[in-house]
Amino acid sequence: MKNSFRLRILAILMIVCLPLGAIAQTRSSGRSDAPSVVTVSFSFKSAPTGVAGYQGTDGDNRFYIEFPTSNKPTASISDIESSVEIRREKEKSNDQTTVYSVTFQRGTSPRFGPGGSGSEMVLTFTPEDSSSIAVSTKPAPANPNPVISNVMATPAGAAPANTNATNGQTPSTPSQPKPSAFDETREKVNLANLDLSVPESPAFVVLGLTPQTVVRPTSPRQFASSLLNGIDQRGNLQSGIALDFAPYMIYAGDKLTLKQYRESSLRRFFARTQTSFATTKGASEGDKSIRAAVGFHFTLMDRGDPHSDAKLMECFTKNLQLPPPPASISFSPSGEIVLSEEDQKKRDEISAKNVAASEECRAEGRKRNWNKSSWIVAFAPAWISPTGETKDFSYDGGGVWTSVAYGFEGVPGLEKTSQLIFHARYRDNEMVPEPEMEGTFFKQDGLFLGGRARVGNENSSVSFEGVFQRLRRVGMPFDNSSRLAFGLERKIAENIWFNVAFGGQTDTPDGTRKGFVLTSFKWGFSQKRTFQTPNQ
Amino acid sequence: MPVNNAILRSAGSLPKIEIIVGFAHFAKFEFFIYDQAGQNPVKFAEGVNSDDVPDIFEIGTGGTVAALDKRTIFWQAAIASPTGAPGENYSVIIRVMQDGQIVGTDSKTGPMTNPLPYGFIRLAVE
Repeated sequence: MKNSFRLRILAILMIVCLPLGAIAQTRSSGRSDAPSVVTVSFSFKSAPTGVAGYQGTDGDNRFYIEFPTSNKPTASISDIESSVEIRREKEKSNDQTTVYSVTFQRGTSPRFGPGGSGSEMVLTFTPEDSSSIAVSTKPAPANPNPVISNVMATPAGAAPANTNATNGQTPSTPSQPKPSAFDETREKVNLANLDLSVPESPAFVVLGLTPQTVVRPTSPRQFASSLLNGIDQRGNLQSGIALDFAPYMIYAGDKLTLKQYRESSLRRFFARTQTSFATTKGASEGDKSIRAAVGFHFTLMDRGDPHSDAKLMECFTKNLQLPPPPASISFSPSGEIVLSEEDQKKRDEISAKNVAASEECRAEGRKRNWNKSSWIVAFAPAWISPTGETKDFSYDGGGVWTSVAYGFEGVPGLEKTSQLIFHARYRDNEMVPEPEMEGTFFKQDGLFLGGRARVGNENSSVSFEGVFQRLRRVGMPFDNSSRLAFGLERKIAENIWFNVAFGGQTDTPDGTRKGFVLTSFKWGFSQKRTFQTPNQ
Repeated sequence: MPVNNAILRSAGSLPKIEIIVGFAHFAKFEFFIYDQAGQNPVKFAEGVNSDDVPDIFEIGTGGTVAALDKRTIFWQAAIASPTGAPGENYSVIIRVMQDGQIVGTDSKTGPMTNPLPYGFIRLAVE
């Protein structure tokens, strides 16, 4: 049984390593920091009538593309790892006209013109010192606000609709876009903020698939897997699977006694160290990406560890039964001992009673321990394939985080009912799907600092969460915002939990407030296809 | 059920038996010894692994090693997982030792859906 278990793990590792091998091959080509030619293709639903492009001014390294909202294009970037990023400029857009901005690397010249098909426009960024790309000449230095291109890719004779660009004049200078980014991202469904029954897989956390921002410290399991179908933290539909295991428990757990676990902090640390693999796939038309991550989770302190719960041990001691020994034994010719049917039946009955009694003891233990103080740290690198093909996997940055829970031990009135959780997380170089722009991504760094107060019991709770988040697109200033949420969590059936969250978010610098209401279900399964209980 | 043997040296000291329950699980256990005819089981040790008492016990206390020849030990344990995580297995190892050396073993593993392992060890004195 132990061997088959290890074989299962090896098989999982092979499955996980295959795409990672593809990743390694993809990355082996290496990259240069020097600017390179990057093209952004815009495929419009119909002929790009009324499409205009112009460059930002006063050091604004963005190129703006304006088009009728009814003819929204899809965009694709030739090199997703370039610093070129696309986003919708909310403040410049309205019901009739939409403006996209394309942030490009300094040292390149943007050129905008028709593409290969009648409905395609192409924006090309060429290194300024490049002589091999002869798209067009650079703008005259004397013009501080040059029109790099104002091509109206219309059929012959068609009248452009954009008045700023139809007569060859320089479009009105766009106002300096505020560094506040991600408005559109935030317009989408934001984060839920509640605990779920399935412990957060570290790999899911870094992939943005734990609905809550403030990650609750949880106990690792020897081997577990979890499924998730839902909305990620950017509002995109995702489906994913995570495989979690504790390597020490798999390879040495069969010899780890309860006494050793309690007395050796080093053994306890390794026994509770969890590794996880997760993959997710975008489930919407606008996000076909596949993401993968490897997570490592370390429990530094856990006052709710049931292994150290003396009352739980007392309960086991009191309620577990042992049947009487066989009255007599006899050896078969082959030297074996066979229990009588009556003895075996008695053992089966007591075994079943012990299983039920153990669960009752643990249920009592969960009441005592659900909100105890604990502290975890975790980190996880991630990879992404924006196209959904394994050959396109590339490094997607990583995340490191810590959560500290305080259970008000010794505080009357709060000790059994309340918990405070503090969470800090840094996410580096994440590739984020551009809202409303199919197939496009931008890179983002994020710092999250949050706290959550929970009041309830092991089966239901209410929580209040506040999160300060500091995000920035690569190469741009940080953008600060905060979010407050109120949530309810309720166990509606064994192993199935329902969550609902209400909240609001503030954006800076305009102070816009946005509200959200989220509901979610979550469940998990084990290798035996049984559901897990909360707080395990 | 196959029965493992423990070979004892008649000149050695009385053997001891130890129970090791893995995966940091709780266990409540008992040891019995049968006579040479496989009758009259007598409990000679019991306990839980969650206390501070070592889970190692002398076999045949007050007797001689020779008196253990052809006798059979029966052990059983009720296992419980503190976490109750699904899919867990249990692991129990029984070791018979004489003068610090392991002279016989028995082991059982299985799912926590049936956490009542047991086994036999037949003693032989040479």
